[in-house]
Amino acid sequence: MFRIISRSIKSYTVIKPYVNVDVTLREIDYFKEIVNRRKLDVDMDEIAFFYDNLKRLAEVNSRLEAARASISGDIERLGPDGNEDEKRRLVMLAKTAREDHKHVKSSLHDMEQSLIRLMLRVPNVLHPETADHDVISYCSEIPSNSNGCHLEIGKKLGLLDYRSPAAYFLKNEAAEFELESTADLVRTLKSEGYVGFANPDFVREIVLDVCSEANVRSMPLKKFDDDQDVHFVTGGASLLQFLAYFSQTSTAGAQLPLRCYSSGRHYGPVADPAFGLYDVNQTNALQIFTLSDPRDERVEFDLIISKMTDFYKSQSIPFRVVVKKASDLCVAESLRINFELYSPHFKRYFECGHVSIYASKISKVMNIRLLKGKSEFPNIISGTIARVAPLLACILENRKCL
Amino acid sequence: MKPFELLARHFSSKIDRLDWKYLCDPSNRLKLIDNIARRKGVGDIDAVCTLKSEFESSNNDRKEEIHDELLTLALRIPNRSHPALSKGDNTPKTVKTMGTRKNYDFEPARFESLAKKWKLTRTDTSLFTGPRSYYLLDQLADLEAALVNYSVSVLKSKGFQLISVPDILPREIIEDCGMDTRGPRSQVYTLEGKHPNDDLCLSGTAEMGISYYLKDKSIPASDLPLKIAAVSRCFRAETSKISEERGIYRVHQFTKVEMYGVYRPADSADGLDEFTQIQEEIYGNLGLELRVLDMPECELGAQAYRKFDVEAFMPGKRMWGEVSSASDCTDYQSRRLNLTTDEGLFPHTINGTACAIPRIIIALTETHQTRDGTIELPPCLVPYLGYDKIARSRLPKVVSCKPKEQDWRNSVEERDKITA
Repeated sequence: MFRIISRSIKSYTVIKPYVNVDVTLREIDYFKEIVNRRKLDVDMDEIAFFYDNLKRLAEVNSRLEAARASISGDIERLGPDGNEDEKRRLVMLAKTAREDHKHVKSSLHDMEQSLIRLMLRVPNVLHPETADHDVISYCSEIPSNSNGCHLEIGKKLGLLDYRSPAAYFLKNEAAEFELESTADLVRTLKSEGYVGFANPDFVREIVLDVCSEANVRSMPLKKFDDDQDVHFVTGGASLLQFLAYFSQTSTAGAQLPLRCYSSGRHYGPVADPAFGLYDVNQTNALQIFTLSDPRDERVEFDLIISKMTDFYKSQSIPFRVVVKKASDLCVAESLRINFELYSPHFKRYFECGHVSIYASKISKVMNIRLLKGKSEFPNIISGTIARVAPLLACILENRKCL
Repeated sequence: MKPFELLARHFSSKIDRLDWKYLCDPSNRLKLIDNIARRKGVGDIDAVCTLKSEFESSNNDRKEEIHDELLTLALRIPNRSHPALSKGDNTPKTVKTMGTRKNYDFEPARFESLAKKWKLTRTDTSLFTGPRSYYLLDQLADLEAALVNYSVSVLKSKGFQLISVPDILPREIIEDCGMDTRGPRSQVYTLEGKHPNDDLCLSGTAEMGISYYLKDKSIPASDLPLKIAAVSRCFRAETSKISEERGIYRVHQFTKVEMYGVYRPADSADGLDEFTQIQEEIYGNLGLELRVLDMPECELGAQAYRKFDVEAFMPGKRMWGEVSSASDCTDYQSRRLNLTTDEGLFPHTINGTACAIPRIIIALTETHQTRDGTIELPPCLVPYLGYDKIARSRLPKVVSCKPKEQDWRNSVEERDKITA
C-alpha cells in the first residue's frame, strides 16, 4: 500500500512507504510477542481494530463510487427527452452521492495516513540470534587498574582541549589520529569491494519522519523564513544519507551485494555529558551500508563483523562484541551487534560502533527496490562502525599515549 | 606594560577591548566614514561616538542601559583597510598569474558533464537532503580524502600545527569573526536548542572553530607566529541562481582545509604573503592555471584589512573561479576574541583556505580531462589516491522508480521470514 506521509504540508517531498498490513495482521500473535520482548508501547489489537474500520470505510467508499457510476448511467440513459421529474430526482441523488463520496474519501485518506503511522511503529521481525539478554560474542581482557580519565591524560599530553560535548579540540597527534584512524579502516573496506561515498550532512524532516525508528542520530536546525520544512543535521556518516540516496530507486539483483561506506562527520545529541569523549555531539566516523540479497545477508553481516573485530583487536584496547538484546533494539532493527570499548576510568563499556541488520523493513519504508530477482526489496545491513572520539578516549585511558 | 595592566586587559569586557582611541578620535572621522562607505556602508561612526561619550559621562545605571546598544553599534564598524586599496576603483586587481593555459584538441567538457558521464556525483536528491546537496561517489570520494591529506601534508611541512575543531559553535564566536548570524536569510545555520542558553550555530569555516580555540588565550610572544591548520565541514546558507554556479560550485556544505595564523602586528603583512605563497604552491602542484587578486574594500567583509583571492581557470566552464582567499584581519578578531600576547598586545590574525574541496575538484577535473573524458591526475595526488586516472564509477546503475499508487501484494518472502 502506498500513501504519502508528510508533516511538511508545503514540501513537495514524497515518500511512499510500502506497508503490508494484511501480512502483518495475519501474524498478529507473533508481533504481539515481539512487541512484548522489545518492551514497546504498541497495541497490535488497536491497529487491527483501526484497520477493520478502515476496510469498512473503504467498502462504503467503493459502494458510493459504484452508486455514483450507476446514477450517471441512469441519467445518460434517460437522455435529453426523458422524464423531467425523474431527471431532477437523479440529479439530486447524484449530488448527494458526490458529497457523501467526497467526505468518505477524505476520511479514508486521513485514516490511511494514520494507519501508516501506526504501522511504522510496528517493530521489525526479530532475527533468530536476538535474545532477551545481551550476548557477548567476544571479550578481551580488561585492565584492573585505571591510569586516569582520558580528559586529564589528553590534556597532559597536549593532545586535547575538552570544554563540553559540543566543544572539544584535538591537537597535534590526536588531530592526525582523527584523520588516519578512519583512513586505515577505509583501506580495509575498499579491499573488500566497498565503494566510497562523500555524503551530504542534512536530511529533510520527511526522511526522519519515516526513518526515525532506525538507529540514527540527528539534530534539528532552525527554519529560515523561506524554508518549507525543517532540516536535520546528521553528518555524512549516517544511515539516513544512504537511505536518501537509494530511496525510490531500483538496483539490479545481479549487482548485489552492493557495499558502500562513508567517512565523515557524525552529529547527534548527547545522552550524558559526564563521560567526556565517549559521548559527544560531533565526531568523525565511518558508516557502512550494504544492499544484499536476503539469502546472502548472513554472509555479508559476518564479513563486516569479522573485519571490525579485527580492527578493534589491532588497536590493543579492551573491548567486547555484544549481540544486543531485543529490548535495546530500535524498532526497525532486526539484529544489532555493538563494538563496545572498556573505560578503566569509568569502569564501564561504551559503544564505539555497531552494525545492524534491518532485513527489508527500511527498504520497504524508503522504497528501495530490486529491478529483477526473487525478492522485491533488498535487505539492508548498516551501521556506524567506528566513531573516532570514543576510540581516542579508550586508547588514551589504556595506552596513555597515541 | 605592567603585570596588573596585562591582567586587566586579559579579563576586560569586549566593549573595553575595542580600539576607542582610534574610533572616537575626531581626526579619524572622515577616514572612518569613507572606509565604511567603501565597504558596503555598514556601520555609523557618528552614532557610535555620540553614544560612547554619553556612556562615559553616565552613572552606572544609565551605563548598563546603553551598554548593549553601544556594543552592537561599535561591533558593526568594519576593520580599517590597507592604504593601497583606497587608490583603487573598487575592482579586484590581478597581482600575479601562474601556470599556462592548456591547449586542448577537443572541446573541454564541464565538470557536470564529466561527472555525469562517469557517474561520479549525484545532485538530484534535494527533495530528501535539502537544496544544493550532493554526493561525491567512488573515485571523487577518494579524491576528496586525497586532497585533504595532500593539503595537510603540505601545511605540516610549513610548520602548521594540526587541530581538529568543532563545527558546532556558540553564536557569539561566529559573530566575533565578523559574520552576521541573524536576519531572515543569514549565511549561518542555527541549531534548534532545547534551552535558551543553547545558542549554537553551524560553522561556516574552520577559521571560526580555531577562533573559539584561541578565545581568551594569552599566547607567549616568543611562540609567534602560531600557525594552525584544521580540516572541517563548512556550512553556508548562501543561495545563488547563477547558472555557472550550479552543480557543486556553490553549495551549502563542503569540506575545507583551513590555515590560520597568529602574528605579531608588525609581521602580519609578511604572514599574508606567506599564506598566499602556500596556496600558490598547493594549487600550482595540482597543475592549475592561477591568478592572484588583490581584493577591493567592498569585498573584504567586516573583518579583513587586506584580502587576496586565488582564482583557477576552469576550462570546461571557460571562466575563472575563486578557489581560495587569504585575509589579514589585523587585530579586529583578536580584540573581539580577547586573544592577547603575554606582552599585552592584541596580535594580528590571518586566515586562508588551503583547499576547498568542491571548487578544487571542479578545477582539477576540467583542467586534466582527456579526449575520452578520463581525468589524468597530477603526480602529487597519486601517493594519496593509489591511482592516477579517474573514469567510470564502480557503483552500479541505480534506476529511479516511482511507486505505483496501489500495491497490496502479499510478500511471500516476508511471510516465510515471519513464520521462520
